[in-house]
Amino acid sequence: MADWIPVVIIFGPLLAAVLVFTQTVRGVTATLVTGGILLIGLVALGGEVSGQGPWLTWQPGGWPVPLGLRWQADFFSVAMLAMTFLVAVSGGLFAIGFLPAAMPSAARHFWTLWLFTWAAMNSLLLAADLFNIYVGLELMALAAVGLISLTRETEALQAAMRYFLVTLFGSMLYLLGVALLYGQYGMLDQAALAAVIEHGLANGVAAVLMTLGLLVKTALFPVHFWLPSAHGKAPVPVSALLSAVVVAVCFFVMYRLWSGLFFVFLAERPAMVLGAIGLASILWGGMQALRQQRLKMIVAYSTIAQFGYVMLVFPVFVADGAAFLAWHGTAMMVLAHGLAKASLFFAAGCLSIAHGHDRIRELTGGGGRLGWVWLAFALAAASIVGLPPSGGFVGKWWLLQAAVLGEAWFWVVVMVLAALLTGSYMYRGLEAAWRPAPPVEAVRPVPAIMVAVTLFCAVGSVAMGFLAVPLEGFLGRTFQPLPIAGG
Amino acid sequence: MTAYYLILAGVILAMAFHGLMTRANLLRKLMALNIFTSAVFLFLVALARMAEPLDPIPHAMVLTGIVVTVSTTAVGLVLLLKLYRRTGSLTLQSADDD
Repeated sequence: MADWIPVVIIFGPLLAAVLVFTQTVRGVTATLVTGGILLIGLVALGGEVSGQGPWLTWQPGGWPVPLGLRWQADFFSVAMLAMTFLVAVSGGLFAIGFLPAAMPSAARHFWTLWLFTWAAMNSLLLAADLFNIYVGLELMALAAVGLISLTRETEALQAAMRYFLVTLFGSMLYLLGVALLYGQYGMLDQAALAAVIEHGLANGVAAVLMTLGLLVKTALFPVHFWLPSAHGKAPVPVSALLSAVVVAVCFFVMYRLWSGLFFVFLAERPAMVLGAIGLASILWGGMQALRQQRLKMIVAYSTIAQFGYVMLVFPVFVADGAAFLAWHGTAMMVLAHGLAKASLFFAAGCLSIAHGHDRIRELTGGGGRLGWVWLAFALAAASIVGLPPSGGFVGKWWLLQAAVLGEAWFWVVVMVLAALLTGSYMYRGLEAAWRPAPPVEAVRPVPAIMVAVTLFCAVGSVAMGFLAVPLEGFLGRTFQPLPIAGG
Repeated sequence: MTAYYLILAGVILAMAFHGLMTRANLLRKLMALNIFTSAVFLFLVALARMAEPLDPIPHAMVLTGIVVTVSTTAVGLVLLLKLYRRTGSLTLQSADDD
């Protein structure tokens, strides 16, 4: 197996971040060069996984498992890495236009923190060791806190502080759970633990603590309260990265835990609790999104609702109709949501540069270049709502089918209601575009690159629907037991 | 004997959690978070002492954890200072959702 692949994927952005901070390397150049190198790594990784899959596993330094750390990847990891790559590069391109217009003084630190976040996310997507995941979570949290506070406005600082306290508390809950597991088994590797773990009080408490820690970071009801201000007040590219990928990576870690390590616990009752958390997030996020007056805040609240939707995979999975379909749907939803959410934030950013604000009532008139922005917004919104043939539609359709086959009628109703709620708040965002503009309003020009990137992400999230069949072929191998952690 | 350390870790955890939830002052919250972290570390080190033979891995984890905590505390303090210089207060206003 090619040992260089995970090294490049994790250390590429990390090295670039250090270079941008310490040397006079331009942030844009570093990000784009890193992107190029990572693309090679990702293509190679995709080839290896489809050739030698379902699981690839690496042991850096050749240390055997109880002592050494292990990296692992399956096709879901590859797809998540690819989505992270797309959002990180598009966000970088968007920032080329955005930073000079919105926050020229913070440019250098933006790139450093951006690359650090990217490295942390890649490391989390490949990590198999529970303590390694803790370190990844902390690195991601610190870089994200820095990114949120970049504008140095009071509100942004407060949002960053709230996020800091909440997310570090989440990390500590997670670490406490890890400590409990370590006390029982003296191991940290997910696969090795999954082979020996059994029901028991200490293990149950560990599962609750680790899940709670990750729920806090994924911003699900009732521990969601930090997200709207953090994602709403951050600079636009940052909001896109946080909402599209950072939250998704935290969900990914939780998915890995529950489909491997804690799989023995995934019975009816825990799954219902996880589903209820999802339902509460859908309702609360959706209702709040309906009340918002600013475009960016609607998009921020919709993240809570959409990840609530993703959580429904757990009750649908135990309903035992078509477990594979439920996982496929979730994977597809997370991926399509990533691109669509990035595009929605980018669109909100373009509009707020053009109009000088993002109050929905006054965002009328969608002519000229702004027409393209609104088109992107509409496409991305369609994918979030789940209109065919978008990627969001395929994900939700698969999950709905799995629920119907498992005769989980309650969750079927929840999904349909959630789609209606999503449709309503997304329509509220769009409605302003087709009202005619008052003739006198001066609209500032938006750099073309920002519009292009916004449209690219929106088209990507819709186009993913056309990739459903090959994606299903690859994901078909995903839900395999974890690899054996041999020496 | 080591059982006392585990119990002590539990007591400190509870105190730190209480402080984190009830105090409005951000410096106190930050300190509570630090004490919470220390309690988790104490728990890990006590576990290492109970293992037979002595287990070095929890010590490595705690050392890494201490490095991480130093960095997080630094970031937290910088954020706190910036917020204090700007608003003159050490508390967070409740999240407004406009």
